[in-house]
Amino acid sequence: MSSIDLAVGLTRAWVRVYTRGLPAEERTARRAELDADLWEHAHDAGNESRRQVRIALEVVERLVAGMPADISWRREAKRGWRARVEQGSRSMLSMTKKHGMIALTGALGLWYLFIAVTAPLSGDDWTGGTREMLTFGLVCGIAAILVFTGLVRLRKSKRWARTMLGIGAVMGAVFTFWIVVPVVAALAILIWLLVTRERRTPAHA
Amino acid sequence: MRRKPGTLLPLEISILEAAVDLRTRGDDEFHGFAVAKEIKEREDSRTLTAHGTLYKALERMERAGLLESRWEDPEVAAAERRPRRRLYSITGLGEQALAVAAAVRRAPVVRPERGLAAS
Repeated sequence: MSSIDLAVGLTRAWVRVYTRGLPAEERTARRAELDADLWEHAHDAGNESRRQVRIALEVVERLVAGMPADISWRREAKRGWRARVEQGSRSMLSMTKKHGMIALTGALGLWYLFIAVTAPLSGDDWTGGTREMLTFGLVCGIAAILVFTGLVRLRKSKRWARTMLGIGAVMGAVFTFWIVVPVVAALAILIWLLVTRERRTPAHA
Repeated sequence: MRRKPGTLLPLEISILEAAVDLRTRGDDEFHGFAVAKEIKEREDSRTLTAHGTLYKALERMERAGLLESRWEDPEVAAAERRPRRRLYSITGLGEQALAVAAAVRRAPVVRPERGLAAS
């Protein structure tokens, strides 16, 4: 093994050490770039008249002098990667929450629709008379319409859609207050709408 | 190293100057070792820029838009029986930054007169 081979091997080993645990893309790019550099250095035309030991010493010198920069590069690369991962998982969590709340709102709308259809048909089997049941069904029907319209419009006109969703969810819950599950669902939707509402940016003076 | 935004470090100026020199000699693109060698010759330095320092600076400059890079065609590298090179080139923004740095370097240094505040 020549002295150049030894210096190149040493540099490669160091590159493997400080790129370990980094994302594959950054790791392979840095290793490939250093491999090319070492090859160019060892095969440089200006080296013909020079002794191999001198070239090897040059490689080792470049390796040692660059170590602090390598360590700081690794720290920065790792920090950037962690930030990207955290941002990704945060946005995934918020997407999951959003989809969950949309599903819950849809289920609540279906429940109100079910009541709107079945209440008038049940006549006076429930507490009130036929007229009361019709009113009850009508209110639940309106609540269902508000919830579904809100869901459909959620992408286009956020503010109106959210207002419709909130009114629909609460309206139905008030009229079915003795059934716990839809009331809790309506409350959860209301809290979600309040927490995720867009804050207005202050007007410039 | 902390520095004022928009200013260049001495190594970054050297890299940009080397890139411009290489381009005037017909090499629009350069690889890491080529620029290290060019800097050594230009500055009549005894040593080549260290690996870590050089590649960290190149990456930082690419992120800042002063340089751009691409990986060489693998077939070219295979034909020459050597590893693939990452080829860099100076951007318009890099040239502008170099011009500003050169202007700052040429500008006369104004020193505040002594004794004005003494009373």
